[in-house]
Amino acid sequence: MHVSRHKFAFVEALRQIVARDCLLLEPEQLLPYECDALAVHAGMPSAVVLPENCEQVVSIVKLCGAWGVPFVPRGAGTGLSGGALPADGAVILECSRMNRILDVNVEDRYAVIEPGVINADLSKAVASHGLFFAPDPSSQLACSIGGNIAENSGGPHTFKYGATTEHVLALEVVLPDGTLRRFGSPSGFASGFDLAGLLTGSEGTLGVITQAVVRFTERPEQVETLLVVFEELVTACDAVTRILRSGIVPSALEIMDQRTICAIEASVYSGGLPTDAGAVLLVELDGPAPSLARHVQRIQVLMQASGARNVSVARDAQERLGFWRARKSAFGAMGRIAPDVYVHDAVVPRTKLPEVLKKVCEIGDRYRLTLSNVFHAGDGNLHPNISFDRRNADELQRVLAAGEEILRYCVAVGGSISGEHGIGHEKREFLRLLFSDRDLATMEAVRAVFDPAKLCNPSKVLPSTRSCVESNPHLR
Amino acid sequence: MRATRGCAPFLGGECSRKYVVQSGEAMQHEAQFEISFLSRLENCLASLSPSIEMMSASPFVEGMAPKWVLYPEDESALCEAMSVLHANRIPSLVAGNATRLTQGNLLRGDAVLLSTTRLAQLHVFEPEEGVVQAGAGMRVAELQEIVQREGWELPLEAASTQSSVGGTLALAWSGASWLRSGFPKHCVLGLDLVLADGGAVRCGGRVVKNVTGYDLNKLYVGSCGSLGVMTRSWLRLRPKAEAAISFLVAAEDGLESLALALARRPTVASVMGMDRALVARFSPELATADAVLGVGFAGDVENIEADTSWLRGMASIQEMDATAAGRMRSARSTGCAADRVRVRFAASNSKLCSLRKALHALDAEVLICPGVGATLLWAWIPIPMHAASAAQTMRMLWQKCCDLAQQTSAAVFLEEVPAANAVVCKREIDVYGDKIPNLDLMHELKRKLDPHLLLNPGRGMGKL
Repeated sequence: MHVSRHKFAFVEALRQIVARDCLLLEPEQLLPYECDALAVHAGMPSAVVLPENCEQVVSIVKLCGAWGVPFVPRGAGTGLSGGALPADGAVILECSRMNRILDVNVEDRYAVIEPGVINADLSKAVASHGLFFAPDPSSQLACSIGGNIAENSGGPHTFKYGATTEHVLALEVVLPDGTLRRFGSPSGFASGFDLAGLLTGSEGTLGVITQAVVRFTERPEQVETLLVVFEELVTACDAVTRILRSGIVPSALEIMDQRTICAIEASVYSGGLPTDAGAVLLVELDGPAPSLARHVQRIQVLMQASGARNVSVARDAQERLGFWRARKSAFGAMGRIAPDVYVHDAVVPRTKLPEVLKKVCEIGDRYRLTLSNVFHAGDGNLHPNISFDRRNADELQRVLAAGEEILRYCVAVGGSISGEHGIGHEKREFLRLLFSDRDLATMEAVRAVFDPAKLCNPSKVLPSTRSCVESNPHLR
Repeated sequence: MRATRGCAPFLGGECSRKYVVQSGEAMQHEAQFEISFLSRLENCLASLSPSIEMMSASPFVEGMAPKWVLYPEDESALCEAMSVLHANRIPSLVAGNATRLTQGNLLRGDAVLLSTTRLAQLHVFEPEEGVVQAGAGMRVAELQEIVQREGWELPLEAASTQSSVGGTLALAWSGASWLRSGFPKHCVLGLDLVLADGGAVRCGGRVVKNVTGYDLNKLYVGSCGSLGVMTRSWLRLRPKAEAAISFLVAAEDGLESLALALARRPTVASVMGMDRALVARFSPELATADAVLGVGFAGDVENIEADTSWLRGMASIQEMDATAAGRMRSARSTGCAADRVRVRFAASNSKLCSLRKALHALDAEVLICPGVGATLLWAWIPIPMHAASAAQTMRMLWQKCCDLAQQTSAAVFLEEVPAANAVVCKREIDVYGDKIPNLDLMHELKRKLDPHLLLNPGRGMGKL
């Protein structure tokens, strides 16, 4: 049932559940919720509800179920795949007010948190104990951990510390039928199927996370960051392969191309990056102090042998933070190039990076687009960013076509269509490039166990029954 | 032992697949099978058997006496076998290299044993990428050797040298090295499986970072073969440690404090601590200490030196040779004495001390493998086995274990019972615990993927 038909009665019922200021209904209030950080897709929600506790989430979800109203769980809205797009006039259930850190257990290395806790705030809260929360998306100053869990977010340090799923021990979830469940345990071991693992990365389609038990990581004794300058982007990619084969495990391996560097350096986030370089590679090493200096030296030698123009080590924490501030604000700095930026996300086998980046640049040129690259090279996780103006319909079409071509190429070389942003609304039809009908039917079957009525974040993750994207003929 | 050879027309056409069909000691137990089941089974298997080889052994574990053992030679053969078994509603006991057949609840009803032993190929190994794709039947130990020659290591620990990759993943098996290796699920990038109806499915992929669709890898890993049969897995490797060394440590002030302190050192890769009673059983020459720890270090030379130097200041240590290390590891999975059951607890580190004290009150021998934040604990608990009351005694003991788990927020799992009384001991209990949350969802997932409940019937949690 669509909300608008019986909106008054439904809204009245919502008002019985949450406080007046926790229910947004006016068009100007709803406008910020028409999309997440992927602005090329938009839709207007019927209402936005901001629950303040788990009981309210249960009541809202039950109400939506009783009325047949679709609902969309939303964190901070920083997602980049349209996962929080309010399709079908859905009600948005925004969890930002459930933002308490409920318990910190230093001995057992975990915290119990509500989903709206901001990623960076959790690490700050336990810094004095020598601990941190390892997943670090570029948006970590704004994004919520509930969203990180829903998307199985990554970040620059995923290379060493793993994606969010490796740091989730247990979840409390309101299922689409309104029942409250707990999956997993603070020890990380639980009897039966790993439903906490399944829920992580399910993009809010299997339930609404109301609490999470997340694992902390011990802060490394020492950190060193190297800035390696290359004349060519492809040479930087080759250098990454050499590092991977060296046996050294950096905590991060990040590449930025020239266009990205220039955008950053022209912005307030300038980090002293050389604007005449073809690419820079950030290599971060961390761990026990005794061996770190030796690894830094080895990386320096390896980089020089790989054709680096210059290798420098951050002199102090301030310079290191400057490098990272520059890297993490790359997407924001793109705003200097054009009004909009389409941040793509794909993964390829790491040895294919040089080949794939050549192709990505060729595709960008062919479609006459302004394309820049900033990516997690250690994971083979590309982010080709296309700067454009969405008011230009022709340009928007070229952006979408180029994006599709890039994804198809990444799949053709053995890669995947998302490394950390998720499928959301954006890529659901492209899932067929990776999976057979039977594979997808299995995912549908799993979804049906949790959400038979298909009310929980509908039209996300799984493809529609009709699709213009053919199944990959090489899958079987 | 008796074996059968023969060919038969395949239902609906010629079958080109090669199978090994084995029958052996199980024939002595034919009375256990219903005639109708036997008849269906034989008709079904005959249709699958253009080529039949004799094998030398037959499993007979905990009352399970599969009359037939199928060894599909490849994935297509497995699909075909499972499709026919599905069409004839014949249940399967799914196994890798059959090293952990006693793990789980009792099998419900008669079944064919479906083994992935022959799916043992290394399909892809890319040393430049640090990933492998291995067949489910490949031995973990063999795979480990191969990747280590190229400077990598597989963050997966097997229960024995014969344990297969598929079996290890299906059980989500963790041992002493989980401190360094983490949970087995995290090294899995992608899986190929065959579902109960014979349909092949795939999830995940080969790249090291991937969020495409539901993470069904997590669902299948640890599902004990109850949702599908793994055929291949893409696994992420990590660079082999520059150096490794193991020490035997005599702890005079109890087990936990030193073990947990060790688990926080950066180069400690594994800690296995035995209390005095257990040491007396497995290494009597060491039984003078209050507790004994086997500690494995792995990492950079300088860092190991720093950590071992710290350890020397804490306790008396001696380098452990490969034999001693092997003996300690084997203690972990050694079968039960006739009067003990082996129970595994997984508890938060803060609850470890109270859990161990409570187990000592039950006169248990204890082994611990601490990790970051949590510890795996194995307890060998005495149980008087008198045939007449064995079931009741077991039920009471198991209730105590489950209560203890609840009091300490631990997960509990009955790993092994005395072989001679296995059927009686397990009949009235659930080895995965008495209060498993979300069983309804698990049952529903099982019914979606295996509607006729043919894979490992009864073996899973809640007798799923």
